[in-house]
Amino acid sequence: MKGLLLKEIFVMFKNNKLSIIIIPIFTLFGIFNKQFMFVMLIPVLLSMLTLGNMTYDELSRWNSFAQCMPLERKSIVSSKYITMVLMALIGSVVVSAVHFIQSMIYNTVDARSTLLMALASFALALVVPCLSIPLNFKFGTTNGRIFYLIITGVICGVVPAMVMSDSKKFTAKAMKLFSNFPVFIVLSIVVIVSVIVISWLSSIRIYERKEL
Amino acid sequence: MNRSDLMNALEIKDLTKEYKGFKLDNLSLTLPTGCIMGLIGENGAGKSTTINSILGLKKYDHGTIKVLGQDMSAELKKDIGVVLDEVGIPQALNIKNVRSVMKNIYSNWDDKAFGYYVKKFSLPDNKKFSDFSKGMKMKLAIAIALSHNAKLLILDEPTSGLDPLVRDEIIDILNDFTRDEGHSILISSHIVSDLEKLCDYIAFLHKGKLMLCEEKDVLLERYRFINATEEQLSELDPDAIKGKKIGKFSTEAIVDQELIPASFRTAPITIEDLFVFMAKEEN
Repeated sequence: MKGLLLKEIFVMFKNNKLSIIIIPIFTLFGIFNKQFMFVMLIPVLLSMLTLGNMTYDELSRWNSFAQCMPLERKSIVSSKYITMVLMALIGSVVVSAVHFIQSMIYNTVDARSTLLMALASFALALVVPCLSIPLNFKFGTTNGRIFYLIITGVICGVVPAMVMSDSKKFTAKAMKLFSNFPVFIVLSIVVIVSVIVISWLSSIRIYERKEL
Repeated sequence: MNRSDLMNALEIKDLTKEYKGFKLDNLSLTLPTGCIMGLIGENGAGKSTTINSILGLKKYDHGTIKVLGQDMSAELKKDIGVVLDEVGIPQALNIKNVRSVMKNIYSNWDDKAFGYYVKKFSLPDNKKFSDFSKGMKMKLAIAIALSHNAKLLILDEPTSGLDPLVRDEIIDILNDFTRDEGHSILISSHIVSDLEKLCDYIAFLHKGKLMLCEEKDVLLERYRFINATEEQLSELDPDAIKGKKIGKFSTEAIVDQELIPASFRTAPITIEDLFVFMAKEEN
């Protein structure tokens, strides 16, 4: 696993120098600008680098080569998820730090909202990769992207329509849940972990059956 | 593990794999330990399908494959060095990076051996893999394959697209590898002359079928060229004729020397001649 993770890190940092330079720029923007949008992009950007690695793997035919080494297929899949979570965590730490520094500058320090920001940015960072990684393993990175867009399109079309059909009830329920902060945090963590585990297990299942 | 398993580096029985428009048909072959076997065939003959099936890259429909007496597993791959026609090393990595990755993947990694081969092949330490020439890429793949005490090398077209000098160098290295009696090689190529220099055994694949699998020296001794008229050929045992080329004045044929009268004047063949004649006859 250590070898696989090293490979992921080498490929990621050597191919994405520009993305990595952008991070401190976004961080500085986030600290001195009340607009928090830039900072929230950092964990998304970092975790998406895992998807870029999958494209580079395909281009270099790494998957076939890795299969000739003493590596289980599930280890190859797991290395992607570990990298993704690590990147999302780094991004989330940056978000929390910027949020904390910003709140100190503007004298609005609130541990609850910093924790919430960390969790929200971590969850946001995982949405695209958790859906895309299994699709990329199944269909390849080019077709995987198309399937990702189709699924996202369907979700974006259906979910808001369902919510809006009974928006008052939904808003009331959400507010009630949000007002109970500890329950909200625990529930959010459970949902995030479940999404990662479902995506990870699906990818293992897909990749173990795949012909390379 | 029984004794016969120990004696063979590779045993394939009735391997069948069907795709749309192609079938690898009941392939059976055995590579004894300490030997080099060349898989010869035209593009699309089934060489890569065979190798991919052995390595578990492709699932096969039917048959059994034993490598070093065992079913293929991740653990067993420690003892196998593989070079694929497209090497598979990430383009952005340099040799230092590759070394760190491999060191942490192979528990039996021999870093000294890797350093030796990198030096021997004059591979640059800091250049990205994408900037390597085709020959350098192949040499790096071979260096990796030789740096974890592998007992069996499986090489898919390792010399294709390389200049004769590099090909010769690679052949020398592979010959060195088999000086150890416990080392074996399965190598596929459509450059038959390379395999003729290197191999103890030759397996001909044509359109997914194994046409023959025999010791190289036996093939070269047994099959011979003859020049004859069509009439003379028609009088021979049909099984004796492996292939023929009809010319203006006479017909050139490759025949099984044991099945023709001793009165025929024969000339030696090369493995390439035998392959081309047999493949054409089959077509």
